[in-house]
Amino acid sequence: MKRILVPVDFSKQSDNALAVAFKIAQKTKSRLLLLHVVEAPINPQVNMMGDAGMITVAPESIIPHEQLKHSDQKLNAIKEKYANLDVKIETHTELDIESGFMGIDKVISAHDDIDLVIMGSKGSSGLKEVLIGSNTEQVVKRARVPVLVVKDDHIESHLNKALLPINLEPQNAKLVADIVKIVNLLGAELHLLYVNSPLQFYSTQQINDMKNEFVKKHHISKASFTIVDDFSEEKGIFYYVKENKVDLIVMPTHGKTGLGAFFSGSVTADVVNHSAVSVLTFNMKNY
Amino acid sequence: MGKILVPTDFSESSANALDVAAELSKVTGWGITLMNVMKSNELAKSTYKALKANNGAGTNKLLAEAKASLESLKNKPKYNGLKITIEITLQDSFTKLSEEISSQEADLIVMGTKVVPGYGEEKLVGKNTRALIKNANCPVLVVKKPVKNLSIKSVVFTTDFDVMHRGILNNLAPLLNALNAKLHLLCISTPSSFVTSRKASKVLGTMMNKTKIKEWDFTLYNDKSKEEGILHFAEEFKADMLIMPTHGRKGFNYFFNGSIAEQVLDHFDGLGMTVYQKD
Repeated sequence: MKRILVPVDFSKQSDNALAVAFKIAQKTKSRLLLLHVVEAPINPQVNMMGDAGMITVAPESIIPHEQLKHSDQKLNAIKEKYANLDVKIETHTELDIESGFMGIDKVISAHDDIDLVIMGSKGSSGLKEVLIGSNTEQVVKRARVPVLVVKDDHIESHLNKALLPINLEPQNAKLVADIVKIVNLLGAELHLLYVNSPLQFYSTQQINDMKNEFVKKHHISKASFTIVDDFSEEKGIFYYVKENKVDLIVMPTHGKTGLGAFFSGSVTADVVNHSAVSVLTFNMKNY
Repeated sequence: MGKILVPTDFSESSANALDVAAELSKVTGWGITLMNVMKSNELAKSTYKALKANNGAGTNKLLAEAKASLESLKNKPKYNGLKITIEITLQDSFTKLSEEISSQEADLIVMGTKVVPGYGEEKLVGKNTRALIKNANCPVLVVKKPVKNLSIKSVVFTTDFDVMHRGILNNLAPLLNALNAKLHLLCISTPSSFVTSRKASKVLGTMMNKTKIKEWDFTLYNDKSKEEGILHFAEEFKADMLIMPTHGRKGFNYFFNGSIAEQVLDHFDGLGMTVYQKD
């Protein structure tokens, strides 16, 4: 890996993500790009014709100079904190008037050598998920590079066991190759999981055949395998994660936004929001 | 001390059963009761003939013959050092035969079965064995073929988490411990009776919590039907012995619900044990 992007907001979650990011950067000898996005306040207005609109002014004129300076100071403090590690660190403060995600996206586009984003999120349920982590969800759904979402309950920064749920749909060869590559780089062991449900029921023999074909087709040299029976894929994944020690869930995401996501549901978004362990997502749009 | 009951009609299949019982007796130290059930009408016929021919002498010729056959079986050199008792019971009709056997007090019945060819490759178990499975008060071990160098190391127990299964396992614990066999619990999930992993592990925990069995593991296996699932798993797992609790359904209930254990026994080539659970 060449460069890892770590969006930070100086919260406890982002500190956690940073700790994991530094471990990974050290191990993979890659550079870290610490990014803080300053969101400009939006001032909605109604024009004379009754249309809602926004004032378009340069963000620099709205955001006080002090706030930008403050951001730089904090980023430098992080740099100093980890100075004893042999990791090359860059910092960047980005201004954006639309949303935090847009700022992150702009930075990813500007650097073509970013191959992983690491960011924090709360392992949440209930109201928290509505309030926190919406930026992370946006990044997961739309980012062009794999995103590692580090949960705040994830205390250990070493990732041992990576869980990859598989299904009977043919998988994109490059996607699986990328998954295996990144899981290997993170130093984790790959564990495959199939969730069998009554509506789409297969016998254990059929599932084993399918898994063997999967492993052979994608040249996966070493992976353990479990079949879990449950009523839905998410339920099965959560059950497995609850009962077994898993450090990371790997999930390709279809990156549906808007109505598509609403109607077809996004297993990945569910898993990212509700699981207490870290999640590594790959956007299917890129494959 | 336990008791292993081996019904014999001096056929090859019952000799196979005695071989298996002898091996089990060696590891458990249980005694063997070798029993011949004689139909009393046969006896009556022979008595009548003997009376006619010998003017009342040698009335028990058939009985004496049976006794001699049992003795010669018992005294085979390969059964040296085993505690074998012989017993002859009379029963008036063929259908009562299984009832007579099952009414005996025993810890285990080892029954050799005649194998009746079915339509396909399956080898169906005989009528007497079928009847015995439905009536016996203790576990019945069905022996379909000669067993050489008996070694029972992996035992598969099929369960649907019935409340009775804990008791059955407790009763089997001495035998399993004596065999030093690893117990593997198996539950089959089918589209029509789907079992989630979540539920299985929860119920299993409560079921196994208070059993005398300390070491066991568990598989939830998916298949089209329970019978196929049990057979496929047994084959994959290379199970030495299959233990199946059965409801021993009779009459209409049997006609409509059938017996999974019986169907599995028809297709399973290894050692199959059924345990009749009273509802």
